[in-house]
Amino acid sequence: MVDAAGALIAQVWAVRHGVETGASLRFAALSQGMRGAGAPATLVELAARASADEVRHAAHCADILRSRRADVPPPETRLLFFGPRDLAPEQRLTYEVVAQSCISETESMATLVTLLDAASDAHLRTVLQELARDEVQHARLGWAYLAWAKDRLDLSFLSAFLPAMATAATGEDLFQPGPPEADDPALLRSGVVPKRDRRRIYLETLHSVVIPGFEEFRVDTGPLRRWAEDKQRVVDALES
Amino acid sequence: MKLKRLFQVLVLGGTSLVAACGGSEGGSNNRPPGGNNTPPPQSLLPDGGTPPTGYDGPLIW
Repeated sequence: MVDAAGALIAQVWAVRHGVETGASLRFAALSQGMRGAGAPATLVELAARASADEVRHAAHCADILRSRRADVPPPETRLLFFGPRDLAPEQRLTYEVVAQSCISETESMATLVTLLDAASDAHLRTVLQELARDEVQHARLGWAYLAWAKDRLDLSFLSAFLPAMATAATGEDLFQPGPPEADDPALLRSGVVPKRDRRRIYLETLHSVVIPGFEEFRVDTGPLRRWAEDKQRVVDALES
Repeated sequence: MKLKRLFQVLVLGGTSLVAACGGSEGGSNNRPPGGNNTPPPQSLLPDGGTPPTGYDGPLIW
Protein backbone atom coordinates (compact mmCIF):
# COMPACT_ATOMS: atom_id res chain seq x y z
CA MET A 1 0.00 0.00 0.00
CA VAL A 2 1.40 3.42 -0.89
CA ASP A 3 2.49 5.89 1.80
CA ALA A 4 -0.51 8.18 1.28
CA ALA A 5 -2.85 5.32 2.11
CA GLY A 6 -0.73 4.39 5.12
CA ALA A 7 -0.93 7.95 6.39
CA LEU A 8 -4.67 7.99 5.85
CA ILE A 9 -5.09 4.74 7.79
CA ALA A 10 -3.08 6.15 10.69
CA GLN A 11 -5.13 9.34 10.59
CA VAL A 12 -8.39 7.38 10.79
CA TRP A 13 -7.21 5.35 13.81
CA ALA A 14 -5.97 8.56 15.46
CA VAL A 15 -9.38 10.17 14.95
CA ARG A 16 -11.01 7.05 16.42
CA HIS A 17 -8.75 7.38 19.46
CA GLY A 18 -10.17 10.86 19.97
CA VAL A 19 -13.73 9.67 19.32
CA GLU A 20 -13.37 6.97 21.98
CA THR A 21 -11.74 9.17 24.64
CA GLY A 22 -14.32 11.91 24.06
CA ALA A 23 -17.15 9.40 24.27
CA SER A 24 -15.78 8.08 27.56
CA LEU A 25 -16.07 11.55 29.10
CA ARG A 26 -19.57 12.03 27.72
CA PHE A 27 -20.87 8.66 28.90
CA ALA A 28 -19.58 9.31 32.42
CA ALA A 29 -21.46 12.63 32.46
CA LEU A 30 -24.56 11.04 30.96
CA SER A 31 -24.52 8.37 33.65
CA GLN A 32 -24.52 11.09 36.32
CA GLY A 33 -27.25 12.94 34.48
CA MET A 34 -29.41 9.84 34.23
CA ARG A 35 -28.97 9.21 37.92
CA GLY A 36 -30.09 12.77 38.65
CA ALA A 37 -33.09 12.33 36.37
CA GLY A 38 -34.15 9.19 38.22
CA ALA A 39 -33.55 6.80 35.34
CA PRO A 40 -33.49 3.05 36.04
CA ALA A 41 -30.29 1.86 37.68
CA THR A 42 -29.70 -0.47 34.73
CA LEU A 43 -29.36 2.52 32.39
CA VAL A 44 -27.19 4.49 34.81
CA GLU A 45 -24.87 1.51 35.14
CA LEU A 46 -24.88 0.87 31.40
CA ALA A 47 -23.70 4.43 30.77
CA ALA A 48 -21.00 4.15 33.42
CA ARG A 49 -19.84 0.87 31.89
CA ALA A 50 -19.82 2.48 28.45
CA SER A 51 -17.47 5.14 29.76
CA ALA A 52 -15.02 2.46 30.90
CA ASP A 53 -15.46 0.53 27.63
CA GLU A 54 -14.47 3.58 25.60
CA VAL A 55 -11.20 3.90 27.52
CA ARG A 56 -10.41 0.29 26.61
CA HIS A 57 -11.38 0.95 22.98
CA ALA A 58 -9.05 3.95 22.88
CA ALA A 59 -6.25 1.70 24.14
CA HIS A 60 -6.90 -0.67 21.23
CA CYS A 61 -6.74 2.26 18.81
CA ALA A 62 -3.45 3.33 20.40
CA ASP A 63 -2.05 -0.21 20.07
CA ILE A 64 -2.96 -0.28 16.39
CA LEU A 65 -1.35 3.12 15.85
CA ARG A 66 1.85 1.95 17.58
CA SER A 67 1.86 -1.24 15.51
CA ARG A 68 1.85 0.99 12.43
CA ARG A 69 4.64 3.12 13.93
CA ALA A 70 2.28 6.07 14.01
CA ASP A 71 1.95 8.67 16.75
CA VAL A 72 -0.74 8.23 19.37
CA PRO A 73 -2.53 11.55 19.87
CA PRO A 74 -3.27 12.87 23.34
CA PRO A 75 -6.69 11.88 24.64
CA GLU A 76 -9.64 14.19 24.23
CA THR A 77 -9.94 16.05 27.52
CA ARG A 78 -12.85 18.34 26.67
CA LEU A 79 -16.30 17.30 27.79
CA LEU A 80 -18.12 18.15 24.59
CA PHE A 81 -21.86 18.61 24.58
CA PHE A 82 -23.72 19.70 21.50
CA GLY A 83 -27.24 20.61 22.57
CA PRO A 84 -28.47 24.16 23.14
CA ARG A 85 -27.81 25.33 26.67
CA ASP A 86 -31.25 26.91 27.00
CA LEU A 87 -33.10 23.59 26.88
CA ALA A 88 -34.74 22.44 30.10
CA PRO A 89 -32.45 20.08 32.08
CA GLU A 90 -34.27 16.87 31.12
CA GLN A 91 -34.52 17.96 27.49
CA ARG A 92 -30.81 18.73 27.40
CA LEU A 93 -29.92 15.38 28.92
CA THR A 94 -32.20 13.65 26.42
CA TYR A 95 -30.61 15.59 23.54
CA GLU A 96 -27.13 14.42 24.54
CA VAL A 97 -28.18 10.79 25.12
CA VAL A 98 -29.91 10.70 21.74
CA ALA A 99 -27.00 12.35 19.92
CA GLN A 100 -24.46 10.01 21.51
CA SER A 101 -26.28 6.69 21.55
CA CYS A 102 -29.22 6.76 19.12
CA ILE A 103 -27.22 8.43 16.36
CA SER A 104 -23.45 8.18 16.87
CA GLU A 105 -23.23 4.74 18.46
CA THR A 106 -25.95 3.31 16.23
CA GLU A 107 -24.14 4.59 13.14
CA SER A 108 -20.81 3.29 14.44
CA MET A 109 -22.32 -0.18 14.77
CA ALA A 110 -23.08 -0.23 11.05
CA THR A 111 -19.45 0.67 10.31
CA LEU A 112 -18.20 -2.03 12.67
CA VAL A 113 -20.41 -4.65 11.03
CA THR A 114 -18.94 -3.69 7.66
CA LEU A 115 -15.40 -3.89 9.00
CA LEU A 116 -16.03 -7.24 10.66
CA ASP A 117 -17.23 -8.69 7.39
CA ALA A 118 -14.00 -7.59 5.71
CA ALA A 119 -11.46 -8.25 8.46
CA SER A 120 -8.97 -10.97 7.57
CA ASP A 121 -6.27 -10.12 10.11
CA ALA A 122 -6.89 -12.20 13.26
CA HIS A 123 -5.88 -9.50 15.75
CA LEU A 124 -7.90 -6.80 14.04
CA ARG A 125 -10.89 -9.11 13.90
CA THR A 126 -10.62 -9.84 17.63
CA VAL A 127 -10.48 -6.13 18.41
CA LEU A 128 -13.45 -5.36 16.16
CA GLN A 129 -15.49 -8.16 17.73
CA GLU A 130 -14.82 -6.77 21.20
CA LEU A 131 -15.75 -3.28 20.10
CA ALA A 132 -18.90 -4.40 18.35
CA ARG A 133 -20.02 -6.36 21.41
CA ASP A 134 -19.68 -3.23 23.54
CA GLU A 135 -21.10 -0.79 20.99
CA VAL A 136 -24.32 -2.79 20.80
CA GLN A 137 -24.91 -1.90 24.43
CA HIS A 138 -23.87 1.73 23.92
CA ALA A 139 -26.39 2.14 21.11
CA ARG A 140 -29.14 0.25 22.95
CA LEU A 141 -28.69 2.60 25.88
CA GLY A 142 -30.08 5.50 23.87
CA TRP A 143 -33.13 3.64 22.64
CA ALA A 144 -33.71 2.24 26.13
CA TYR A 145 -33.48 5.74 27.57
CA LEU A 146 -36.09 6.99 25.11
CA ALA A 147 -38.36 4.09 26.08
CA TRP A 148 -38.09 5.22 29.69
CA ALA A 149 -38.26 8.96 29.00
CA LYS A 150 -41.25 8.91 26.64
CA ASP A 151 -43.77 8.81 29.48
CA ARG A 152 -42.03 11.61 31.36
CA LEU A 153 -41.09 14.05 28.65
CA ASP A 154 -42.62 15.25 25.40
CA LEU A 155 -40.05 13.97 22.92
CA SER A 156 -41.39 16.06 20.04
CA PHE A 157 -38.76 18.75 20.76
CA LEU A 158 -36.14 16.35 19.36
CA SER A 159 -37.47 16.56 15.82
CA ALA A 160 -36.00 19.95 14.92
CA PHE A 161 -32.63 19.02 16.42
CA LEU A 162 -32.10 15.71 14.61
CA PRO A 163 -30.33 17.28 11.59
CA ALA A 164 -27.85 19.05 13.88
CA MET A 165 -27.19 15.78 15.67
CA ALA A 166 -26.65 13.96 12.37
CA THR A 167 -24.27 16.71 11.25
CA ALA A 168 -22.29 16.63 14.48
CA ALA A 169 -21.96 12.85 14.25
CA THR A 170 -20.26 12.93 10.86
CA GLY A 171 -18.08 15.96 11.49
CA GLU A 172 -17.15 18.29 8.67
CA ASP A 173 -15.28 15.79 6.53
CA LEU A 174 -17.57 12.95 5.50
CA PHE A 175 -19.56 14.78 2.84
CA GLN A 176 -16.55 16.67 1.49
CA PRO A 177 -14.44 15.44 -1.42
CA GLY A 178 -11.50 13.30 -0.37
CA PRO A 179 -8.21 12.23 -1.92
CA PRO A 180 -8.37 9.25 -4.33
CA GLU A 181 -6.76 6.91 -1.79
CA ALA A 182 -9.69 7.51 0.60
CA ASP A 183 -11.88 5.39 -1.70
CA ASP A 184 -9.42 2.50 -2.03
CA PRO A 185 -11.23 -0.79 -1.22
CA ALA A 186 -7.93 -2.15 0.12
CA LEU A 187 -8.38 0.13 3.15
CA LEU A 188 -10.87 -2.37 4.54
CA ARG A 189 -8.04 -4.79 5.30
CA SER A 190 -6.62 -2.19 7.70
CA GLY A 191 -9.92 -1.56 9.45
CA VAL A 192 -10.88 1.51 7.46
CA VAL A 193 -14.06 1.81 5.42
CA PRO A 194 -13.47 3.63 2.12
CA LYS A 195 -14.99 7.09 2.26
CA ARG A 196 -17.46 6.47 -0.54
CA ASP A 197 -18.80 3.45 1.37
CA ARG A 198 -18.86 5.35 4.68
CA ARG A 199 -21.18 7.93 3.14
CA ARG A 200 -23.44 5.22 1.77
CA ILE A 201 -23.47 3.28 5.05
CA TYR A 202 -24.22 6.42 7.03
CA LEU A 203 -27.25 7.34 4.92
CA GLU A 204 -28.52 3.76 4.65
CA THR A 205 -28.29 3.35 8.41
CA LEU A 206 -30.17 6.60 8.92
CA HIS A 207 -32.97 5.38 6.66
CA SER A 208 -33.13 1.80 7.93
CA VAL A 209 -32.30 2.04 11.63
CA VAL A 210 -32.15 5.57 13.03
CA ILE A 211 -35.22 7.11 11.39
CA PRO A 212 -37.45 4.07 12.03
CA GLY A 213 -36.13 4.09 15.58
CA PHE A 214 -37.31 7.64 16.19
CA GLU A 215 -40.61 6.84 14.55
CA GLU A 216 -41.11 4.08 17.13
CA PHE A 217 -41.24 6.95 19.62
CA ARG A 218 -43.47 9.10 17.40
CA VAL A 219 -40.76 11.71 16.87
CA ASP A 220 -41.35 13.57 13.59
CA THR A 221 -38.45 12.58 11.35
CA GLY A 222 -39.31 14.96 8.50
CA PRO A 223 -36.37 17.31 9.21
CA LEU A 224 -33.94 14.38 9.41
CA ARG A 225 -35.31 12.87 6.21
CA ARG A 226 -34.83 16.19 4.43
CA TRP A 227 -31.28 16.42 5.81
CA ALA A 228 -30.58 12.92 4.47
CA GLU A 229 -32.03 13.85 1.07
CA ASP A 230 -29.76 16.90 0.93
CA LYS A 231 -26.75 14.77 1.78
CA GLN A 232 -27.74 12.21 -0.84
CA ARG A 233 -27.67 15.00 -3.43
CA VAL A 234 -24.18 15.93 -2.20
CA VAL A 235 -23.10 12.30 -2.56
CA ASP A 236 -24.60 12.07 -6.05
CA ALA A 237 -22.68 15.19 -7.07
CA LEU A 238 -19.43 13.89 -5.58
CA GLU A 239 -19.77 10.59 -7.39
CA SER A 240 -20.95 11.92 -10.75
CA MET B 1 -31.02 -7.37 5.63
CA LYS B 2 -28.18 -6.58 8.05
CA LEU B 3 -29.64 -3.15 8.72
CA LYS B 4 -33.01 -4.69 9.49
CA ARG B 5 -31.23 -6.91 12.00
CA LEU B 6 -29.46 -3.88 13.46
CA PHE B 7 -32.82 -2.18 13.94
CA GLN B 8 -34.07 -5.23 15.82
CA VAL B 9 -30.96 -5.61 17.96
CA LEU B 10 -30.40 -1.94 18.78
CA VAL B 11 -33.80 -0.22 18.76
CA LEU B 12 -36.09 -3.05 19.77
CA GLY B 13 -33.37 -4.53 21.98
CA GLY B 14 -33.03 -1.22 23.79
CA THR B 15 -36.74 -0.87 24.26
CA SER B 16 -37.02 -4.36 25.71
CA LEU B 17 -34.13 -3.58 28.05
CA VAL B 18 -36.30 -1.03 29.83
CA ALA B 19 -39.20 -3.46 29.94
CA ALA B 20 -36.89 -6.05 31.50
CA CYS B 21 -35.81 -3.68 34.27
CA GLY B 22 -39.30 -2.76 35.31
CA GLY B 23 -40.98 -1.21 32.32
CA SER B 24 -41.18 2.42 31.35
CA GLU B 25 -42.31 3.15 34.91
CA GLY B 26 -38.65 3.02 35.74
CA GLY B 27 -38.07 -0.09 37.84
CA SER B 28 -35.43 0.49 40.50
CA ASN B 29 -34.74 4.09 39.69
CA ASN B 30 -32.26 6.45 41.20
CA ARG B 31 -34.38 9.47 41.89
CA PRO B 32 -33.43 10.79 45.31
CA PRO B 33 -36.09 10.39 48.01
CA GLY B 34 -38.36 13.33 48.60
CA GLY B 35 -41.41 12.60 46.50
CA ASN B 36 -43.17 15.40 44.74
CA ASN B 37 -41.65 18.01 47.02
CA THR B 38 -38.19 17.56 45.52
CA PRO B 39 -37.48 20.48 43.17
CA PRO B 40 -36.22 19.59 39.71
CA PRO B 41 -32.44 19.91 39.36
CA GLN B 42 -31.07 23.05 37.72
CA SER B 43 -28.88 20.95 35.48
CA LEU B 44 -28.43 17.25 34.94
CA LEU B 45 -25.12 17.63 33.15
CA PRO B 46 -21.96 18.81 34.86
CA ASP B 47 -21.31 22.52 34.48
CA GLY B 48 -23.15 22.65 31.20
CA GLY B 49 -20.27 20.99 29.41
CA THR B 50 -17.86 22.63 27.02
CA PRO B 51 -19.44 24.23 23.97
CA PRO B 52 -18.47 22.43 20.77
CA THR B 53 -16.81 25.55 19.36
CA GLY B 54 -13.71 24.58 17.50
CA TYR B 55 -14.55 20.88 17.25
CA ASP B 56 -15.50 19.74 13.77
CA GLY B 57 -14.36 16.13 14.02
CA PRO B 58 -16.65 13.12 13.88
CA LEU B 59 -18.34 11.35 16.77
CA ILE B 60 -18.58 8.08 14.88
CA TRP B 61 -16.22 5.42 13.60
